[in-house]
Amino acid sequence: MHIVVCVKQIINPDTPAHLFQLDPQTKKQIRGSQPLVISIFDEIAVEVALQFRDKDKSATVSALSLGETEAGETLHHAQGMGAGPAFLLSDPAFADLDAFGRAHVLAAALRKIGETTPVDLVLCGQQAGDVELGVTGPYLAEALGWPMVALASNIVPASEGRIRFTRPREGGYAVLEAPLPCVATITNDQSNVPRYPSILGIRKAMKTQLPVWAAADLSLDRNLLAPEAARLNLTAIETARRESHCEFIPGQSAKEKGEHLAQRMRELKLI
Amino acid sequence: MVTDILAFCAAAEHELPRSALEVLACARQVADAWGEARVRAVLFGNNVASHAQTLIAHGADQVLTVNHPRLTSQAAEPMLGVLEQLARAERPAAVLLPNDLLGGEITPRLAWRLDSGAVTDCIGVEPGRSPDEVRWVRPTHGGKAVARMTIIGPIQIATVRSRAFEPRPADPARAGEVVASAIDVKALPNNVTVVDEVTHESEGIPLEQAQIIVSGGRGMGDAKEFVHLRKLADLLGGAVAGSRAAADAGWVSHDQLVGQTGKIVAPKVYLAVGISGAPQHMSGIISAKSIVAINTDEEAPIFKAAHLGVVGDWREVLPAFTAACEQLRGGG
Ligand SMILES: Cc1cc2nc3c(=O)[nH]c(=O)nc-3n(C[C@H](O)[C@H](O)[C@H](O)COP(=O)(O)OP(=O)(O)OC[C@H]3O[C@@H](n4cnc5c(N)ncnc54)[C@H](O)[C@@H]3O)c2cc1C
Ligand SMILES: Nc1ncnc2c1ncn2[C@@H]1O[C@H](COP(=O)(O)O)[C@@H](O)[C@H]1O
Repeated sequence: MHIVVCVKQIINPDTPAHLFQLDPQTKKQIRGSQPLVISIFDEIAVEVALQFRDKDKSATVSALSLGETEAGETLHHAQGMGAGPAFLLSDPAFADLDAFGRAHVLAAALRKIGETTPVDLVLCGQQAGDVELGVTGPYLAEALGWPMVALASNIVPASEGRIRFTRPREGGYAVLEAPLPCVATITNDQSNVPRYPSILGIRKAMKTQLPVWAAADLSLDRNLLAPEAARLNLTAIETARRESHCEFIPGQSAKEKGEHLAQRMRELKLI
Repeated sequence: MVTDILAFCAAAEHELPRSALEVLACARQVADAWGEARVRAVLFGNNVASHAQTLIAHGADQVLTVNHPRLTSQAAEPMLGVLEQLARAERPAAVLLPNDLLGGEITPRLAWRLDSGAVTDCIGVEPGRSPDEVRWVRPTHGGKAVARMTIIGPIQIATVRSRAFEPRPADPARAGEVVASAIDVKALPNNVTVVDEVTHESEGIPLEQAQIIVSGGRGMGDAKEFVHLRKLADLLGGAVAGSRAAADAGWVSHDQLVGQTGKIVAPKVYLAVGISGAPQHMSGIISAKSIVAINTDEEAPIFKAAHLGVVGDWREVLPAFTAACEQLRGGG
């Protein structure tokens, strides 16, 4: 079983609101002094893949990222957690692609990876921690012509040529089965809190040569990289305004504040 | 030619979800701005035609029923197939879906097949006067930014965030037609099968229905401390919820997670205890009538959105608050 996890590198999503700034030209977040991190659901997807490999030692978990050179760090992070082979897709021609174009590039890379070791399962995060579109996994399913399971939280072994997933739902979960190869998007639940990467693992990963593929390395219709191929246009983006109207409850002590809060809420007919 | 806007409504096993009426409200807003446009609700499910009149009363001009036992809340693929056939045959200008499990999968896949773009999780729409003028409004970066996007392609496909659109009041006098779809659902591919469904015993009131939600975050410190929140919730007739930090720690279940990737709730009172107020959490409570926060850190972002705030340690504030509530309740 060969699982490929798509991991995106993003600017720290916990950037405090007062440090959050947008570049009016590129309409992207200005990084400032914020760290670059692995997108949260992608880290969870790596965890889900590794939990499967913990049970089935013959499985291979690869990581794939499209980004700038720094995205190599995110691949090392995945490898530090336990992922095996990693692949970086980097080319200035990829920089301004929309989600549609990025999916074409990722799909081309998955085909190329599959030439060496056939890919059985592609995992994507539920949504990227920055743009939060949640379209890439479904796009990949369409681009590859594979079935998909949305918002799974874990992989369950099934009979030959098939795979099962748990999917949280209201008041419980469902178990779904699909034929391989397929695509799944991964959401979080209690079962898939990501493990910490081992420092040793990251160091080891940093020493191995990371394959970096540009557009020319992929069999990809160049027209798909042209601006006219875009299907989405970000016409405007602005920081969300939040005015504070908070009424702070006074009191000499925390205990007194608690009592005053109850009285105030009663006055406002909230309780 | 009349422009059609399809509004996706899945009523699979249950009653008509509120999200269907929200999608309708968004579709209606767009149709009214465009003028010559018709809102067609595509109603999926098994024996759900009884909901057609409700959809008409809430803004549909036509209800197209797609009835089949295969159309359950876990079966996106056949619904995708139906919408694809409809879109290819009848060329609607737009398809709107809720931003939930089904909408989240169907929307991008449908867009890909129709060579169009898709915008997910919209909180607003600026319809312009025709399909090529629409600007979709959606939050990004955990709610720290708001983006306006246009779709380039033959069809506008978007999902709308839960609670972002208020359902139109029902107008029983509204007229509309009900048409049964002729699409052969059985012939559509369905690769994904449900092999098991497990239901936990759910405790208390579902979050979506709770008038009062008492929610705890990392600041609670430990799972066992949630008994204090449960006690308060029971006293006030509310439900207990938690932040992502609390859910990841296993202090609350995934069902109780509030926020962008959990539940989007709209209680009368949301009491946040030891929750910092990360944008991803706040986007789940934007529709709460009033937010009350207890936090030791006066700089915590939760106070930016809260209506009432207490700066203090919950260990001291909460027992006093609970006792005072008990007294107030006792005294009527
Ligand atoms: C893509 C994405 C999606 C996400 N989705 C969600 C989501 O759906 N829901 C969600 O909640 N989060 C979500 N998050 C996570 C979110 O960014 C925050 O990390 C999370 O909400 C933090 O939880 P918290 O407020 O409980 O913890 P913290 O941020 O650690 O805050 C704890 C707070 O408790 C206070 N505190 C500590 N001790 C006490 C005390 N004794 N008394 C009173 N106060 C005390 C502290 O001052 C602090 O403000 C998401 C993140 C990403 C990147
Ligand atoms: N640049 C990228 N490199 C690798 N994977 C990506 C990239 N962009 C998106 N993905 C994957 O697609 C998921 C959803 O992203 P999005 O559709 O942009 O919200 C992410 O969680 C990743 O798994």
